Amino acid sequence: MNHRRGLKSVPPAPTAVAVEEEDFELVRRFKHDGDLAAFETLFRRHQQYVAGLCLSLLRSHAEAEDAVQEVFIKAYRGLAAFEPKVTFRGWLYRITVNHCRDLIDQRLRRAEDADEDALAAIATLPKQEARLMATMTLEAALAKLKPEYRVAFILQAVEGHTIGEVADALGIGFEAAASRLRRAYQQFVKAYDAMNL
Amino acid sequence: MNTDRAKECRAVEDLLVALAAGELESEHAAQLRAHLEDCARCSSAFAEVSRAETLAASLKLESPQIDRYTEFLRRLAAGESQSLTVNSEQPLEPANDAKAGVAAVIPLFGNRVAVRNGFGRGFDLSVTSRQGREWLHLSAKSLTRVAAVAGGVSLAAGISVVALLWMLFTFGKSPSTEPQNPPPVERPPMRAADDAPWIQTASTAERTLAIWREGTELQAGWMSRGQSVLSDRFQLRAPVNTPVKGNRPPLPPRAMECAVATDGKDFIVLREIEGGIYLWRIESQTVAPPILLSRKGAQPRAAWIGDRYVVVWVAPDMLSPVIEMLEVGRDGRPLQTSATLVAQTAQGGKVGLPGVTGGNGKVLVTYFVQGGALMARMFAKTDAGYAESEAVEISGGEGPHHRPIQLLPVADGFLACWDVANPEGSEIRLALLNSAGQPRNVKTLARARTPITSFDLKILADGQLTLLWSEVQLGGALTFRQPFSLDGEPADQPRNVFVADDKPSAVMFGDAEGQTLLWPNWNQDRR
Repeated sequence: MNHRRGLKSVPPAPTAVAVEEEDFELVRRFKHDGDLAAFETLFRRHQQYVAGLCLSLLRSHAEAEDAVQEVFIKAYRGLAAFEPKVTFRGWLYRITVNHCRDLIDQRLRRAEDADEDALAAIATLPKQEARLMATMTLEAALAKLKPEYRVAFILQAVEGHTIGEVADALGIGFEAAASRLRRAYQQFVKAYDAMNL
Repeated sequence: MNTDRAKECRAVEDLLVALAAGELESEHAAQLRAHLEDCARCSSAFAEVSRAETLAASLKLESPQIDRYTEFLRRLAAGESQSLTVNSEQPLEPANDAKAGVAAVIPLFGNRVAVRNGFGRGFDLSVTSRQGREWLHLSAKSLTRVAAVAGGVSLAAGISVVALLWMLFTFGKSPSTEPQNPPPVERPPMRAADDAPWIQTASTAERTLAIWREGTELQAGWMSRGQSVLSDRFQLRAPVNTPVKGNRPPLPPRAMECAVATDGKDFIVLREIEGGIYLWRIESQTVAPPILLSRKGAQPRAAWIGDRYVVVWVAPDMLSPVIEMLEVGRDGRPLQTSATLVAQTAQGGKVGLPGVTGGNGKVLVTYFVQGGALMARMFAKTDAGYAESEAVEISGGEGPHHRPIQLLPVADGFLACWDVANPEGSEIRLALLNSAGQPRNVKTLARARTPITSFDLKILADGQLTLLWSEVQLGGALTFRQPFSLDGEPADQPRNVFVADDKPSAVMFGDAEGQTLLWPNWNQDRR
């Protein structure tokens, strides 16, 4: 079975195409004319998207705000090498996901046992704060996912990216991404149920 | 189940997420759905995928709609990005702004002169201090790039000389009781973590005054004994004629820029505003107009030492900052005409985050020096002024510190409590100092694998030491409480007393007995 052939083919909306072309023109002005106003427009146009993605992946407002700045600084410095084979947003998306993956890896190396401690503490909490408990439990279940599953899960299930986009960001094939997501879903439900026993 | 069937199930299962997301062609999707109707195992797996999708929907977080471009420019100009690691998957060019033809950043007298071509208006020239504060910004339409660079550098050099002369003539003037226009104090660049919620408290036997940040304003509120909510909230605003430096909105007050202290009856609040230290005296429910204690200062702390307050702060210096100390009367007015120098380091070194406590004619001042070492210096009151001891090191360098130290007087000396962070996690330390300010012992009270966001140490009526601290965990923060003996030995296990779903969190004791907790919660009443 060739699943790639089976992929839904959705033509981009005309407005999206217009925005992409404007992006390319802004990139060209920045690269060739050194026009910072063009970069400023790119920044303002995509900052909310990058901020939302960082927040979703990092689950921390403070870390996300820092990450947004670092992503755009990487973009600013790397724009000279940007080729319009992908959209500017797609290019930013890859920088953002890679940057956040690095941060998650660093964080996990620092605090491998913290999740376990927190789960033990959560298990002892009184049940009266149901909303708080539910949020904490979902976050805890998310934290139980292996980093490669967590990133794929957030991108697809929380942020609504397509499996093709997830595959692209992670540098893997469509089948591998679909399979990874299936395992991520499985782990997530298992972790969530284990905490609600 | 035969082998072919098992193989088919595995293939189907791998595509269940794609099926649920509608990312398969209709013909292929129909084949999969037909399989699901015949296969209970795969059907149950598909139900699990749908359930996970529903649960995941509530994990969506909304990022605030704010403009981050000014902060981006500031970081770019300040060169903060130099520490960034470049992901090997991204074919990034080495940083070379001048080569790219968009900017040139030139170090000059410890400042950075940045010349930018762009903004659609020609050229921009800015001069930014080492700490990231922009103190000159010019735009020019008609200059050529070369002229802009050359002219900008010459102009900045001239301005640097004028600024040095101006600092020479203005430094060291005596404190004034009239609010004046303070010159700017260089502060570290504003990072996202600086915007974290915080709260500080000071308690008498009857009531507690809490101060916290709300937007760009410093808020205060009372909690009387036996109450469980803050009442009579009020704002401590900057004097109306305080100029805001640079073309930017006012900065939110950070924890290290504000302090509250009590003499056991009334209260004082200190805050750094645009480089000056202001003091509010709060008697009963009346708030007196602010007094400008120092035109140049940052990171104020205060303590009541029995018959007067002692206020310490960091003051800028030509080469490196110094710590200064000033006596203030019960009425909030300075008792000295000029501040006493507490600490300075060798040229280029930095001191910061001072702490102060005292009693019986003695004042203990602590401060951190560059590299993270914690120092203490004792001042004994004499008829001729103060007799000061040599500074002693309480603890070696443990990296940068971001939170003020907490100092408590005890019968035979003092206690100093501070937090440290390193790649392995965070710790809260306690130093036991004798009455001469010499360290007797340093202990670790608490450890966390994640950042500690606040701590509060209190001596309760039973003579026991109680530590309250919050640490980031997963999507929220947990607050623990643990009793210790006065020599820092645990008297019981830590107990989780509070969970916040919004991180980072700051939790403090809300009364002298340690019976209530206070925390900032931006959507609900404080408790």
